[in-house]
Amino acid sequence: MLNPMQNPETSSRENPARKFSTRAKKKPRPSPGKSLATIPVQAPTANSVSHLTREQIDAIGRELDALRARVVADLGDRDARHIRGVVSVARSAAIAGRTLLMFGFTPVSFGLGVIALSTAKILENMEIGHNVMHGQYDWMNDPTLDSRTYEWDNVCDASQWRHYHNYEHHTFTNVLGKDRDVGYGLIRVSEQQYWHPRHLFQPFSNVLLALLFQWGVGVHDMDPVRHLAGGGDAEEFGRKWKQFKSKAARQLFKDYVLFPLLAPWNAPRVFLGNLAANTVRNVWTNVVIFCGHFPDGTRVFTEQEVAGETRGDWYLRQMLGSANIEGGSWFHVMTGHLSHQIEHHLFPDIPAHRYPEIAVRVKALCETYAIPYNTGSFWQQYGSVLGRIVRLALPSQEPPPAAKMA
Amino acid sequence: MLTPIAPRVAGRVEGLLSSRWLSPLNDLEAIEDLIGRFDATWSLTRIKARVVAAIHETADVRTLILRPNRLWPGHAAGQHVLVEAELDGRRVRRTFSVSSPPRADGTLSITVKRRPAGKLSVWWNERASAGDVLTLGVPAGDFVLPAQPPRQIVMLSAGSGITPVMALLRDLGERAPATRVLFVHCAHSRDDVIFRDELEQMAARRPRLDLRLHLTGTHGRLDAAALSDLARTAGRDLTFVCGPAGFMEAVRAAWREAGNEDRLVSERFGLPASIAGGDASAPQSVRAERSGISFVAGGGKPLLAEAEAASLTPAYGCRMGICHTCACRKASGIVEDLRTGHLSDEPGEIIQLCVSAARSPLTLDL
Repeated sequence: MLNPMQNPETSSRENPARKFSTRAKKKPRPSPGKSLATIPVQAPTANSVSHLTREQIDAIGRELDALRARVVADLGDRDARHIRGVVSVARSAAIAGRTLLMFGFTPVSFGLGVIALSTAKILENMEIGHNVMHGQYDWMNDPTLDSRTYEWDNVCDASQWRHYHNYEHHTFTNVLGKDRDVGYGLIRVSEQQYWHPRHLFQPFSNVLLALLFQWGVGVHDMDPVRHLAGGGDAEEFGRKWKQFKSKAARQLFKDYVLFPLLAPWNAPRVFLGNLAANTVRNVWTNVVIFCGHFPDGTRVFTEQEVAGETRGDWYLRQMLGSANIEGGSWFHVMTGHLSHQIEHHLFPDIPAHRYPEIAVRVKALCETYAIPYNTGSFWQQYGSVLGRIVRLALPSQEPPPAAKMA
Repeated sequence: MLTPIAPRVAGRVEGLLSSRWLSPLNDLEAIEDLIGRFDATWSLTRIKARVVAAIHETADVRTLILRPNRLWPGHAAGQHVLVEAELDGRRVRRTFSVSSPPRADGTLSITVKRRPAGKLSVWWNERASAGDVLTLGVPAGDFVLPAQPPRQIVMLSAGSGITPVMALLRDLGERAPATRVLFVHCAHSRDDVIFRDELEQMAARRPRLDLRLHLTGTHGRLDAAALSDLARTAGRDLTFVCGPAGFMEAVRAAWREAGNEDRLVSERFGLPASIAGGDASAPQSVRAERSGISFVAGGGKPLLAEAEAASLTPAYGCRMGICHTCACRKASGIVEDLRTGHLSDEPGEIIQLCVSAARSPLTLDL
């Protein structure tokens, strides 16, 4: 009864347009699908779970709900220690990195400084920022770890992130035309997206997107592509643009004015070191995030498919649309545990360091019900993403049936 | 969440350093974290206090003696203070009376009765030990003696309501031994009388203290007739009263009847809201603090839908408990998570409106 797609009691059913808005008063958005050339066609047969009966899907929903309840009941000191520990490491790494850049003179200290500062930014953005803003630590009642007020160290305004990531992406995961994270409107990552000549350049635009990833994330909620095409709510765009400008200005000031000025004798070195650290963070987050939903074997969905979804259906979609990366515990922390994308999508508001232990149960469940569980090494998964980006730069050999008809 | 901050220092430090353009150099939380690593009571902005000793008063009442850091502004006998502890990763807050008068050595005592449903009171009685560190708010409350203590005072308390009264009594003993005090305290049995030994010693030592213990286990509660007698005895004397809601109401009624209600000074203890979270289908009244709107929420429906029906427009997203867009601070009351049946009963907890239903009267930060 808590599913927005089937609950007759929610006002979103009375006024479907309200689903797109965080404030009830805002004007409805037109569907972004058309402008992004992602008009959905029928589901592929690969990775289908059509063998599951309605009763089985309901049972899966109940089992996962029970798993969630068990973990929530167990939250406590261990989780608090984990997140505070990561906060300490991130702060120490930031201090070490900035100190090395400001007071060092050799290339070695420059390299170490960049590594330390990149590590700090990656930890802060991923294991802390992303996870805190999901509400994973709200139960602690610690104002510094409050999902509603947390602000992170990159150019994306946290409130905009909370809207498009927590709501759009996590509710409508991999639904073409609704989840704008499918290829970020730039890159064709599924045969089911229409091909456009600009996709020819996507092996290059992908590299560019990776290098500048925080800027992509920063403007994503504004949907500038649609705005430039004349779509969307101009007033809303204006409000978000202001927020973005103010956040970006503070970030640029910090890394490229304030810290270089604090070490005037080393200003160019600090400037370059900060640029390098931001870039390393950009590329790493981009790579990890692309491994989450775009490796071979992950599915996209059509709006028709997800209409009338039950809780069990929703869980299934999260599992079929996400992919994991295997690695050690520090690797998982450095990805913000997005290497456990499947578990993250099932339980986005459970403290992420719990995902490895949850994964054992999820994997067993997938085996029981013969549900594909997409996991692989880092190079396997990212290699498969790159392969897809190159392959889909060209029109698909067999266009989907609906595309033929169109 | 509110953070107890000593206003004088906070104003100075934060005013100097709060510009967002100086971030992260002025990350106060990081500085606090660093300072706190040397000594958990060190802080620029927060009143932290270390437990220095613990005293078992009765089987289910315990006093902790606390030594606060230098941000503690001092208190007047009878005042209460917000206490925050972190228990199993969760910050929990309650307001308690200080049971000590101001002391020269800078320590203060807080005496707490164990309530089975109260996380903090259970920890206080069973787990707290010397060395633990708590965060305190600024002391507050009007349950205090006039600057010039009167010649005669009446004090009435019941159960753990004795704690602020005890602070007054101790204070009077030091500051105004000439004041004549009639103190009536109700408890279930002799073993339940908090501070019994000290009270009996006081009574023996202080001829101007008339101590009357009323044991409700043997004699029943003070009835209307007994209270009327007391009210007549008290006359126009200033009367301090503290105890459970029913006791306070009965006292107030008796004093009103005697025409002396204006002489009553009372301290209401925040009683734990109904214990198990009421009947799931019962409608509950909800107060939206920021918008000043009150509405009635049916027990089975999510608060988000009920708030919207009352023409409020809380932010929301998925309406299924995933995105936390509708996360809202619950100032007080009990809600049930409709997915899990989990009850949130701590004040100040953050709840998701779209999957929470009211199980008691609520106050929300909406």
